[in-house]
Amino acid sequence: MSSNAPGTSIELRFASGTLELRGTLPDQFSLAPHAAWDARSRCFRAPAIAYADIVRLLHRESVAYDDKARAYVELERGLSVLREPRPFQTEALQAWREAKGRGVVVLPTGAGKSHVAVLAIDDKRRSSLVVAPTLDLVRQWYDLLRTSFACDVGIVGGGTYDVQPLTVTTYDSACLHMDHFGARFGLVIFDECHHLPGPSYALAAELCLAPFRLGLSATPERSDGQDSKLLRLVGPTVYRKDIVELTGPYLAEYETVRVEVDLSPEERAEYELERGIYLDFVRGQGIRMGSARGWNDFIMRASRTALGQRAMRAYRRQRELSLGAQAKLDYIERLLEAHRHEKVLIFTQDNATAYGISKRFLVPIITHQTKIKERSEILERFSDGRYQAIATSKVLNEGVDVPDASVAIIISGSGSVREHVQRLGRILRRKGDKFATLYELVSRKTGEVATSERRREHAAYGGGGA
Amino acid sequence: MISSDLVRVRKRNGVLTLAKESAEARLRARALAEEVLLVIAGHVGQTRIAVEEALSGLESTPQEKKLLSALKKLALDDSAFDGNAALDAPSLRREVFSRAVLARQQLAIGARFERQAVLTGAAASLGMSAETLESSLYSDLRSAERLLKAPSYDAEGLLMRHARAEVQAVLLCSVRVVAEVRCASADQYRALFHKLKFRQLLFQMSRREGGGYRIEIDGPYSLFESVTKYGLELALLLPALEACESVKLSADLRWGKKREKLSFALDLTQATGAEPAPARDDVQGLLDAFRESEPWRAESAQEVLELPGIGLCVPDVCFTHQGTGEQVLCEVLGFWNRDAVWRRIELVEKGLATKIVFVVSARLRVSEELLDGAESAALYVYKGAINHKALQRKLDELVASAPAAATRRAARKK
Repeated sequence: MSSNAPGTSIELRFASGTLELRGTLPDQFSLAPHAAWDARSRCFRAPAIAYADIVRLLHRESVAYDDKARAYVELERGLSVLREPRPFQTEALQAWREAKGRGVVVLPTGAGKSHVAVLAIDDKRRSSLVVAPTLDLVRQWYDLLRTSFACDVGIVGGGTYDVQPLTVTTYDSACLHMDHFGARFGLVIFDECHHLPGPSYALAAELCLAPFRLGLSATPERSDGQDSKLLRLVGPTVYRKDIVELTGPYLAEYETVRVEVDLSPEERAEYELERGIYLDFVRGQGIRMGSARGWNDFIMRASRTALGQRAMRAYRRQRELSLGAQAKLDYIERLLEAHRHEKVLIFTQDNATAYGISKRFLVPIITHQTKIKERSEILERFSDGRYQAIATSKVLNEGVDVPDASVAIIISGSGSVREHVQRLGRILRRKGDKFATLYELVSRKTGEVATSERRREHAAYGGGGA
Repeated sequence: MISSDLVRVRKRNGVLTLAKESAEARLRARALAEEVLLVIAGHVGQTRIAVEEALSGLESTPQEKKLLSALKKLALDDSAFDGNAALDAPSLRREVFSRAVLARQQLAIGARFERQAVLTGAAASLGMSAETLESSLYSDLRSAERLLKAPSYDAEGLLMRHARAEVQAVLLCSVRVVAEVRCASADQYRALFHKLKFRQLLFQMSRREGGGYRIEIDGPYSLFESVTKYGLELALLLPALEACESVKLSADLRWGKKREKLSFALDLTQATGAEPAPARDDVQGLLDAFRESEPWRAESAQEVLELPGIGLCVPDVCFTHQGTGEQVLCEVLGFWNRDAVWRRIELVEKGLATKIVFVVSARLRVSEELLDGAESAALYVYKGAINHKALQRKLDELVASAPAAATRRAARKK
């Protein structure tokens, strides 16, 4: 409780992701703009994210308060394993500290963002929550925190609900549970924080009272421009280094190879037929697929008539043919043999193709359906060389630490620059004199060529973007 | 539950309504429901993917597409699948993939990877045929689960499930719901408010002319932003609302990907019509005993007493003094929940002004003295069964106690 003006005291409570403030306010004292009067429960209420601002205000105005909201603790001990940070990691931590422990650190994949987070936890020594996009990353953070701090680490997600002073969760679980455990952490770390500005995920950040916040990303910019929300939810970008600045000393040298394959005559014939049906419908309806509304227009109109439904089926089939062309599969066999003494990651656009590859080439697969125990086993065997390759669709796109992988084969993907950069990042973690190669297989004279050109618009591929 | 993209709706002038079915469309919906259930029933013992493929073969017009998808979803949700594969598929995969790595690494120059040889070798070491191994390799995936039991309801039952699911799917997109509610009994009100509390929803209520209440429902964060975060809780509240005697719902929605602002209204009164549940035995005993008695007469209470931010209580009985017309409410707390007694005491201490007697069993180990100084409320603690004469004395004391309590308070101040 703070000291202060006699006869006035405010009680702060955490209630379902908000702060309830009850008690007698001093004359002329206002909680605006942080809190508003809530007639439903006859108290002032604020989003939990306003906790730090409100406590600072109460201190500044010497208002007594009883803080029953804060439920986080000081960590009993700091790092048990001290790993010398790289200069840019030290700079990043320092920049974050100077921003009062709120901000985003932008570093390329493989540069060691998670070590910056570990240093931040050690610096603040408060109960900390790490929010990551996938269960694979949760598993990886769990291992990292347990090794770094030599203590129990909680997990929320994938059927587990165990909250500890150091806890890791997924964005989805954070959305579901933040209104319950949002008071129990003084520091929240948003890994791959470009996910955060979506409406549901952003709310998870609003419902958490952690005064210290750290965002980590290699690609914080979003095509919808919503990345500006990171300023409120996490803080400003406090430190940034791009791939080209760190390649060499900190990231592996790499090359990207685009391989164009031909559809078989049968595939080509079917492709042209189905694409023709799809395009006839699009032209007939006057839909401009290149416009911002093009895709939505197509879905809407396709659902209305039998002809439209046929066009939708045709669209899917021609896409399926180009993404999963037989020649691509044949080429995979050649690559697996050529790189049979290296570690290979095979990326697809959809699970069905990934399972098809796993069955045909007898390589392990990780998808959202793979249980945590088996995922861990596959990654462990991949790491120690008992497995040579892993097929996956999207779950290994981000963050998962597979330092030994030096070859990535992109069978298919979306037009997203971020996805493509993240996939490249999987093989860039420096290890010895490793040289990484990314193969991108594209079906010639199909719509996939344009998709491939879109996703290569990044400096990492010699493209225009950043 | 189904997602909102499977709901058949119309949007006009900012209002979203569920699409009305013609008699012909209703017949066609019934036929589709029958087909869905027939297909599922005919695939017991087969894999989920086989069931889903069979269901995808059902034909519908573009206008019926959402209905058919929703019916399939609901019927599959209500089917029982066996999630346990007979063979340990991860072990099979481990054996096969490990052998495949070795086979690739040992390839001679110019040799090709022999998939079948790997499978045959792995199958031999596992004591099974290569065909069995190959077909079992991914038998633990959801798509490989086997159907054990089809839903037990008929087509009409599926359509009723669908009707509720459509409303719930709309409510998933709601940011606020207003319910004009009338309940047939205190227990119905209690069940509704219990659900509201359980779902951690906040509400503001006001009494309606002609009986019942208007309840505005949303969540704590709704004060700052209209969010659909509480949509699931509001959707799950629907069964509790349907159980009320009459309900008129209106909801503010953020519909679709664009989060379009729409309103939605629904009268659930016709959907209920069920006989109200009889009062509990102890409450019915009081109503019977005081129905024709003097000077206090009893009837079922119709009020909900609320102190915003503190809590509420729902009296069971309203006693009216035949001489003075004074009324005293009564809530029978029985012998189940000691915490509930403390919550009532807190309500009184925080300003509940209505005259009320809380009837509590001695098994809850509370003393009548807890509310001794209270002006408007009293505790009547009974042993065994409620003693009607003792309760009557409490009612008399409470009516007479207001000046006495004021005197006691004044004396304490001095």
